[in-house]
Order: sequence, then structure tokens, then C-alpha cells
Amino acid sequence: MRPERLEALLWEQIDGVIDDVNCAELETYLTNHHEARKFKEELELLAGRLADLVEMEPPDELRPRIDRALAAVEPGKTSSSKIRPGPRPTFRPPTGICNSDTNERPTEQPGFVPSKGVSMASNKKGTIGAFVAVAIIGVVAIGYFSLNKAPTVGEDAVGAVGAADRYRSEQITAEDVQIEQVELQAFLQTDEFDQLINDPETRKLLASEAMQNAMANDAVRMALANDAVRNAMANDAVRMALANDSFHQAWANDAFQSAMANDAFVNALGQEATRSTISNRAFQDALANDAFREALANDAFQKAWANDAFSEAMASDAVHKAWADDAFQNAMANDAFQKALSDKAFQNAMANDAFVKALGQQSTRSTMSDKAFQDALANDAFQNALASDAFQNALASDAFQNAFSNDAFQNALASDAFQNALASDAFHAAMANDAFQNAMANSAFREAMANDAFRSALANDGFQNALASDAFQNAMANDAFQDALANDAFREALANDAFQNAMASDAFANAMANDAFMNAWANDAFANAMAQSSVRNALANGAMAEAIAQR
Amino acid sequence: MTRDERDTMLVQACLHGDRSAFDELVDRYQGALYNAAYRITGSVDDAMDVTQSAFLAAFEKLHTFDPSRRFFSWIYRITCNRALKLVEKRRPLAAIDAEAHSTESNPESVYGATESGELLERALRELGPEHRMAIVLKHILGFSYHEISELIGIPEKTVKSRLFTARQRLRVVLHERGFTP
Repeated sequence: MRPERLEALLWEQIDGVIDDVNCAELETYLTNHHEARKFKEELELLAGRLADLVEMEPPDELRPRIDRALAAVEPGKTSSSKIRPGPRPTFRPPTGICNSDTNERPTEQPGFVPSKGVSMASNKKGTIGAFVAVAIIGVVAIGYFSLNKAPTVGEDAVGAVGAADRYRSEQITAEDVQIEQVELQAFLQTDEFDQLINDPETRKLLASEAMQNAMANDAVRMALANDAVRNAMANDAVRMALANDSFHQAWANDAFQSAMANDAFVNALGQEATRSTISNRAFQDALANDAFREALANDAFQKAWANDAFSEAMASDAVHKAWADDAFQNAMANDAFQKALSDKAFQNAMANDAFVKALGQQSTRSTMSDKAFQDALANDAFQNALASDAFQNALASDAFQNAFSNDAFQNALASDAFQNALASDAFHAAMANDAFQNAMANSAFREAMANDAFRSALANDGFQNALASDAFQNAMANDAFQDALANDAFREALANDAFQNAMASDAFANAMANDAFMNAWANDAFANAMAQSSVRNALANGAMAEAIAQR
Repeated sequence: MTRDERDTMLVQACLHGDRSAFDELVDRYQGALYNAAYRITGSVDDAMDVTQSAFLAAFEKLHTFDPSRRFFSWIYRITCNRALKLVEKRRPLAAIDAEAHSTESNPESVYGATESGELLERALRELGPEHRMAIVLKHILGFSYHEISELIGIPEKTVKSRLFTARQRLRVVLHERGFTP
């Protein structure tokens, strides 16, 4: 692969826009080229470092400057006294000198007269903002939100507290609001109130437009009155997280509001694991993704949060890495994925170390965004398989993960026969076996999985038992056997009852352990002979199998 | 009501005399516009000038806004165009800008970020404004190819190729500085 193409495909993969064909090509290339894998790591790290660059808060003076500029003109009309930036210095002075305090910009523009409307809006902003702030703090602190003068944060409160007010030094005080509730008034006298209103993160959160809009939502206010949310809010990490810009955006989103109002999710906030999750940067970044927020608002997902093991799994580093991944976020938006989340077996799978470890792998996450995998998720057998230790261990193996990103394997996953096979303990046992997992890394084996005859064989008890036998598993690790899998006659033989019965016999299994027998499969004449019904029927005969075993 | 629908409603309200409706638009977007302007111009003062003038231009030309389009895309393009023009005008100063960039106006030092973050910021400043903007939009502000295409008015394929070149150049600059991510 040319270096430019490799780089382009790697960026497509990192950006989450790579298609299945290119992804398979890339994964194959990466599997075989150590340097390419190193290069991929370098690009992923670079993308991560770039994503970690801080998004800046605008300076405090920006908003007043914009307000002054706008006050001098009418919407839709060009101003005769258009505000322009002040004269610029012709050189860049040393650190700290060229800032807005010393820059020669007019503090007020010529002709600027603060209009009554602007002034009133300003005052109103302060009052409503303070009111909302105290109301929220009241809710958080005393779990009570039935104020006679409940804050109506609707159209009247548009831009109630501007973003530029976030870092102003004015403090919200009890005098800013008139509240009749005895409890709330009492609360306003407490140290806790002082602590909360002096907490920069709380003030930042309360001042955010999105939070104020969210407060207009009954469900959100109810949620804020919940013990679990109040306890969560008492946690520094959660308060900091909630004040994060991504959370600000999320608060304004219907799906997120709905999630915050959901009992299961709210109760989950009472868990340390959930609080740790929402404090995680990857989770917060993921909140900016529509699909992710919709998933959060999904009943099944919220119920899953109520499961201790699930919420603990969500707090793991591997899952955090997954949160930040476009492919995983897209997978979460899928109906089948969300439905699977409501399944206990799947929840347990998500809580399993091996599964969580697998989630840390890009190939697993890419697989999760694959339609075949998502369709398979909707299948009971597949969900049960996911819950089995053997399957989870298999998932964590490199060979299996490589297989997952392979089209042939994905086709196999989508087939009924394969899914039925997944329901079988024997098949689980086979999957947990190194030889089977190594076989999965073999392209002939994976191609065979895409073959109807082979998949039919997989669904057969005899074949599954054979799969679970050491002899067969050793045979699978044999190159000749894997080559034979590419042979139609062999695959047809595999799908045949008589052959499968023969395979289930100890004698045949012993024969399979014999190199000469396995090498014979590589011979077309032998394989074609196996395709003959008479030969296969003979194989079902114990004596024939014995004879083979004696070879 | 979606965010875009609310934006359109606010624009209409403003055109019908409710000036406070524009306040909400400023609240919503001053952060994103300021960040875009800062990353393109590399200067706090320029970024404030650009953000202010973009809001002013949008306010004055509000009647020309096509409500079938996204308000954010519209004002974002105004901001980026103004920032790019400013950078073009200041190009002779660009060489000393990279070195003389004040610690005060450097977001990494303000936020106490790591040395690697500072190096990345510096390397970004060494890219051309269009390449820098492509990386900022994709990696820092988190827009998709499609959104970037809408925001800066170029086809998605061009976004992709511009990003490819921008990332290559960024890596070259970083390697020259002995930085490995």
C-alpha cells in the first residue's frame, strides 16, 4: 500500500468515515505490517492531543463590546456610526502589555446612548439569572421546588445571563431575589448556600443559557429535586462536569433533558461509577454527538445504567475510550444496539472485563458500528452468546477482533445458522479455544464462515461437538485443514449429516489429529471423493472411521 | 424545537423589533465564533475584533439572512472570512507573531496545559490559515466533514483533501521540532 493511501485510510478510520471495504483492506494491512500499526498509533495520538487542546472562554470584555456595538445600530440597517476596532499598535509589545485594558479602544462608541430597553434587559437578566440560580441551588440543597414564584424561564428569559457574565465578580446574594418559602429562606442563611454560590463551577453552570433553558423543562426541574441528583451535585467532580461546555450544550437538547429526567438515570447518578463517567472528558465530548445523546435518552440505555455492573463498566478506561469513538457513538444510535442494551445478558456482557477490554480496541468498536453486528445484536442467541464467558474471552483476543472486521465474518454473523450456532455451549467452548481463535485469523476459515454449507454445519449438533473436541480444534490449526476449507467439496462434506456424524466419533477425531489425514484434504481428488455421498455414508460407518483412525 | 429552528425564530423576532432576541444568539455563539477567530488569527485582540465585527455585520444584514439555511453556518462563515482577511492583511507580521506570541494570550498557559499542548499550538500557528482552520474545525471544535463543508462553503471532497494536507504539514512541523505525539 502506498504511504499516502495508508495515511488517508488511517485518517478516515480515525475520523470514523472509513467504509467497510477500505476498513477491511486497512485492517488486513495493519495486521501484517508492524510499521503501519506504529504509524496508526502516532496518528491516533496526534488526533487525541489535538482534541485535548483547550477550547477558550471568550474574554470578559468581549460581550460588553458586542453589546455596545449592537446598541448603536438597528437590525437590518447599516449604521452611520459603524463601530470599528480601535487603532492597532504597529508592533507587538511584550507579554501582558497588549491586552484589552491598554489597547486604545473607545470604552464607549460615539453616539452610543444606552437605550432604556437595553438597560432594562440588562437588569432583567441579572434578576432572572439570580432567581434561577437561587432556585436551582434551593432545589439542589433542600430538594424542594414548589416555589410560589417558580422561575419561568421561557421567552421572557431569553439570554437571561449572558455568557460574558460568567466570570464577573458580582455575587448572587439572597437580596437579589424575593422568596417566601421559609425553608428556602432558611437555606439562604446557611454556609452551604454561601459555599455553593461562591463555587465557580456552580456559578458557571447556573449562568449558562442552556441550563436556564433546561430549567424551563418540568421534567428537568423534577429531576433536580431528586435526592440522587442533589447528592451527585454535591460531588465536586460532577459539578465541574455539569459546568463543562459540552454539558452546557447537552442541557439544551431534548434527548438529554429527557435522560436527566429519567428515574433510572437519575438513580444511577447516585452511584460513584456513574459520577465518574460523567466527569470523564471522553463522555463529555461524546455528548456533543446527536446519536450519543439520543442513546442516552433511550429507555433501554437508562435502565441499563440502573445495573451496577453496567454503570461500573461505563466508568472503565476502555469504555471511556469507546465513548470518544465515532464508530461506537454511531453504534449506540442504532435501534438494534439500543434494544440489546435492555437485555440483561448484554448488560452483563458490557460489564465483563474481557468485553470491556475488547471495547478498548478500535476493531471491536468498528465492528459494533457494522450493520451485520448490530442486526446480530437483535438476536437472542447472539445476546446470550455475548453473555457467555467463552465468547467474551474470545472477543478480547486479537484474532477474533481481526475476524470481526472481516466482511466474510460479518456476513456469517448476520446468518441465522451462525446465530443458532452461537446459542450452543459447544460452540462457545470452541470459541474459547486458542486453536479456534487462531483459525479465525485465517482468511480461508473466515471465507468458509461466509459459506452457507459451512454455516449449516455450524448449526449442527454433531459439528458443534466436533468443534469442541481437542482433535478438531487442533485440526483447525492445521494449514492443510484451513486450505481444505477453501474447497467447495470439503465444505459440502462438512454440511452433510453423515459426515458430521462421523466427525462426532472419537475415531474420526483421532483421524483428524493425524497429519497424513489432514494433508490428504489438500488433495483435490481426496476432497472430491469426500463430496461423494457414498464415501460420506461410509464415513458414518464406525468401521470406516476406525480404518481412517488406523492410518 | 431544534436549535436551528429556535435560531430562525430569534432572527425573525429581532427583525420584528425584539432586539433582545439577538442577545440570545450572541450568548449561543460568541464562544464558538471567538474560538474560530482566535485559532485563525492567533491573537486574543484580533479574535475579539473579528467576533465583534461578525456579530455587528450579521445584525446589520439580518434582513438578508435566508431562513432556510442555518444561522450558525451563516455567521460562522462571516467570522471565518473576516478572520482570514485580517490574517491576510497582517501577513508581514506573521513571522514575528509565532515567536512573539504572548504567554498571556496563549490559552495553554492560561489553562495550565502541558508542554506538548503548547508545542501543538505553536505548530498550528505555523500552518497557513486555511489549513489551520480545517484542523481547528475538525479536531478542536469537532465538526464533521459535512458540517465543515457547509461552514466554509467548499465541497466535502475539498474538506477531506485540505485536512489531509493540513495534517501532513502539521506532522512535518511537529517532527521538525522533535515532537512526537
